[in-house]
Amino acid sequence: MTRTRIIIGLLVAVTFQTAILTQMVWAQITLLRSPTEVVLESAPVDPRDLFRGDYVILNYAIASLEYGEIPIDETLRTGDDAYVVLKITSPYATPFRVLTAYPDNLGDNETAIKGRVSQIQKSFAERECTRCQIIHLSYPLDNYFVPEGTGSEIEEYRNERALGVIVALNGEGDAAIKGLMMDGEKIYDTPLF
Amino acid sequence: MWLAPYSKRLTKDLDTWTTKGWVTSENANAIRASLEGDKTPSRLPVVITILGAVLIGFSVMAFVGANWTEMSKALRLSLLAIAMWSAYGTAAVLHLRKQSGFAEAALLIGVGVFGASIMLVGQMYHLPSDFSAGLLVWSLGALITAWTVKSKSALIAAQLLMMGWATNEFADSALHFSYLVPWAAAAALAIRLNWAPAKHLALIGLIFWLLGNGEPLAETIGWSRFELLSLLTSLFAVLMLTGIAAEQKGKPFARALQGYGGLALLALFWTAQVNYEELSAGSTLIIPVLGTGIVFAFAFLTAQRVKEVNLTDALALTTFPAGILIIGLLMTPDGAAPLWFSAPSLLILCVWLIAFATRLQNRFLINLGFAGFGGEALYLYLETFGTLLDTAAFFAIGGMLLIAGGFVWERLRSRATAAQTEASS
Repeated sequence: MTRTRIIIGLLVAVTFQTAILTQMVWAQITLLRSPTEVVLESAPVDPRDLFRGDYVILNYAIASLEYGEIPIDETLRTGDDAYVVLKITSPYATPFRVLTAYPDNLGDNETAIKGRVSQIQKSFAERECTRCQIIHLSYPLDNYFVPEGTGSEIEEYRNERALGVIVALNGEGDAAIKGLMMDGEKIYDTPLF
Repeated sequence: MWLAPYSKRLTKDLDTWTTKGWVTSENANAIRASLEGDKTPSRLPVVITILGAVLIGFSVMAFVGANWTEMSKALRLSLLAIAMWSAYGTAAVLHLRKQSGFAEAALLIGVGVFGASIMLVGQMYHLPSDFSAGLLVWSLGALITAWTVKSKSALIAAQLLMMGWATNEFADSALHFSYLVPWAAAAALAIRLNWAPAKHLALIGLIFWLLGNGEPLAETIGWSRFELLSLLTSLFAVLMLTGIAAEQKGKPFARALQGYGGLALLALFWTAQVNYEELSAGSTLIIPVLGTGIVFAFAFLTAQRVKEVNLTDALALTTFPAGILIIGLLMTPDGAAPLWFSAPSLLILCVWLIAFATRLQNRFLINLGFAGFGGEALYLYLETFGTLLDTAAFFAIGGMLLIAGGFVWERLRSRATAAQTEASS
């Protein structure tokens, strides 16, 4: 290979990689700058997989919703994108509809979050249920990185359902974690830079 | 090629051949002299440097993993960007100084730092843990580096990362055709560089993709696993035959095709044996049967052109896809495998493979045949046919039949060789 070709080749490679990294950072910053913010209630997860390395695994109360309790679009199938419409209430946002597309008209104090249907299953709960069917949804918010060795306390709060996750949402339902709350107080924040 | 062991072996052989009078002392000395002339500088320093580069890559990733809080995000990102640009800059300088081995190590560090930067962004902004897109982006970055400067180390990194990305995607149980695009780009570069390790990885990557997509593919087209396994087996039988035909024409990589084909044939037949699903009720079997027919036709044609291949080999190769379908047809409704059919079939096919590979003088396939035979025997021992006594009886009868077969075979071979010698004299 000629001298010029090597230099141009390496410049192309490193510029491409730098551009990719810049785009990734910029996309997250844009999302985190969104004015819409909700606090989601966390839910306990399988205790055998509580805390891996230096991040806390997060699960959400809105990850499992029961048909009959709130209106859920019947055409949703496993693998589909689903939009959960939320009322921005205190201390946690409340789900009140699940749709197949981002809603055109949202009321005051309403927003929507995009998730993916991971499973639709019959519910065998002991308590009374009308449809006895549950939709399980996954969100791209399943972990929160914390400084080394500080995960255990957060884990305990999460299992007691005292942990709130502050989430920024854009106008298409994309979500990014902005921070964590314990007992109504912000304990972790995600700075932009 | 590693010359030291080869030189040692050749020198020893030359002594023997000179003593036996097959090679003159003059010729032997000329060969030894040519070996001295062929000596290239040791590759050890470059190999050690590449290993060092891998360690540095892991060290950067661990540094990122520590999630250090003393530095701002901007500083962390800037540090990694400087490290990445420095690694590529060093690679450029080393390339220009014609130190390509060390330049490869610097490129590998650059690719590693790029990956660490992706992880850092994921960690800083709490991106999802599976982070499949991150692996894809990392592999694309490595692939672009490989293509722009024809880097072997970046190519290998890209191929491995693509497989990591595909593994994540397979978990979704959906068909994953997008893998084929970067795979083809990497395979094309491997062929262009004519570098065996990358070509091997390209083939492994394709086999990996075929096996990973098997189940969703079968579900999409409404096939049972047996139909899919049979068709895949036909595909690999044709691949193996292509390798045999290509070797006759002196094509490079022919042996690798034979090896991967043989390995896949045994693995797929064994997978059919441990499968627990029956053939689906609506199976028409048209395409798998057609595939089996194509294998026989292809093998028959190869037998006409290649003297090491005969009709028995054509039948044995056809037995692989056909046998899988028969296993499917013999499955009981409760999902019990017909071991009485599959186990003897696989053992016989292993014995055939050893004989076939001996004719082809393919050491890998010979070893594979032995390994397959041993593995299946062990599997049978662990599974048993119901009682240990039955298993013992099966092995005893099988062993006696093999010994008797070997004895008869040797007698036939001796007679044939004697007849040939008589005819030629």
